[in-house]
Amino acid sequence: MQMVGKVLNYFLVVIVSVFLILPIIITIFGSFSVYWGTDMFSSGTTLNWYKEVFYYYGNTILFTLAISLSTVVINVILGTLTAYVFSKSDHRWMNLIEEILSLPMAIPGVAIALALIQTHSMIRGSGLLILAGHVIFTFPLLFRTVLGTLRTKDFKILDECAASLGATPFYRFFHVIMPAVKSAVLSGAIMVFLLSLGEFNITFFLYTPFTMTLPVGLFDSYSTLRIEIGSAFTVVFLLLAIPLMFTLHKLNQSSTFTRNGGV
Amino acid sequence: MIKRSTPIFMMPIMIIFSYFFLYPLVVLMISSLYDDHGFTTKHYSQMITNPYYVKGLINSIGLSVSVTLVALVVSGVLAFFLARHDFPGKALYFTLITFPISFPGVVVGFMIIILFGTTGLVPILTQKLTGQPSMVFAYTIFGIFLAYLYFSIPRTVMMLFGAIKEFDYTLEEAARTLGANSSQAVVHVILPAVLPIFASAGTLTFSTAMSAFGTAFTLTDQFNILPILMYNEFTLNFNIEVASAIAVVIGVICVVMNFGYQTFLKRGSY
Repeated sequence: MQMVGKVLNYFLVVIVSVFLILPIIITIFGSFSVYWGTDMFSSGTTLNWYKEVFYYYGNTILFTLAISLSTVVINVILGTLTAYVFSKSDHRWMNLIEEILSLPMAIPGVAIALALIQTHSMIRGSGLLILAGHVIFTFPLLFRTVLGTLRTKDFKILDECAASLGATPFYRFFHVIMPAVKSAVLSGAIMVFLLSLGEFNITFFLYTPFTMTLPVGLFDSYSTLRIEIGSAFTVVFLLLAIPLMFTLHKLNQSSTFTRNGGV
Repeated sequence: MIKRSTPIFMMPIMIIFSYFFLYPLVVLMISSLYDDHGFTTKHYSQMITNPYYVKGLINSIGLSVSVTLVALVVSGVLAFFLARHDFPGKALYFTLITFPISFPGVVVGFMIIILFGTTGLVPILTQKLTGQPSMVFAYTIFGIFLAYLYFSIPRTVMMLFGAIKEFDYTLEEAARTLGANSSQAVVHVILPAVLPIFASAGTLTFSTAMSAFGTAFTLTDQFNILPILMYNEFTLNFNIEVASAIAVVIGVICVVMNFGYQTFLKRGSY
């Protein structure tokens, strides 16, 4: 009986691992094959699908990088500043505001998108609405990561200690606060970038043909182009995401990222 | 105490949040309560009277509940396996199976097409073996179910593993020395200790599944779940009031679940 249970356990572990990892590997292989079929490389290998991806979606990729990097810059500044303020105060009202600032993590992207398009459709064409949506949607991840670090590190005492020893606020910010939150800001920034890079649910309602982002482009390629091109485009996304996800693991912050509900 | 400098530092985020988040949400709620003739609650009442919307609601909840339950069982097994075994390449393995956390829904959908689509791996293999392609269920409800499992399992494994690896194994050893066999130890000692984290992981998985859109939409736009229903009302029927009402319903369910999650987190000391 024990034996059967154990075998069943291992079987389940293997099946689930294959289910999760195998399609990624096939996607990578498929993106290099001339013809997608029973024998993946029977007609040889090619890099043509990648050329097609950059031909069709080169601008999309550049636009996405611009949006995601802007989102990161805005949220690193806003999120760190706001977390700093919150860590110094435990006013009753601040708890309520903290809940509100964390709300975009709980509210579905499609609801945020429908709300945005009803109120600010006049700035839709410029792509600014997409940027605003991404800033709002990704803000809680960085804000909460930095705030969490500031709260656990008993940073208030450190700060006061430095102040009592005569350190100026300017000196304190760079020599007490910054070192304490550096790795939290870095992992927050990575999470914001990853989330913005893969954001589909909000962007799909807000994009125009000139402001398409990578996931919308992926959707477009899956529904209109050959599966080989779809695979190659997916691999481009993977190449952007893998190093960042790996860094997140190294920083031990990947569990925070499970709160990412953008699917 | 709020210091004098606080309002200035808080100003930028308050302005952005008010203008691009709170104000739009209020507009969304107001528009869900109006039609051409003025104030009405019919968009909400039809959610529980009109069979079309009722079906969408039931489909969404049924799908999310079943995905959550299966994901909890499977991820529980995986998390215990990871916590109890050391093997070469374990860190890499863990990185690989949790990597899909970074996938947008469209990529998750594509992974299911790769496995079970018309030219997917499984249909091609079955065609080679039997001459007939079978198991082409990427574009059906079962395909959506598998896709939801694909994004739920890595997230749930990550949450459960964090709690399970910190579990104090001396407790289990104590139970074993007192004569419990290993399954008794799991049922009576370990499970009660990790149950709070299962509950909170479950609420999070459920609300992620409830609000998922891109995953299902990549596979089919025909299956009636609330987010797809909302999209169709908005783009095909230009019925922004009904779409808003559906968005509010999904939003309320998710926010309620999210508060449940936080309460669990505070109660179980994880």
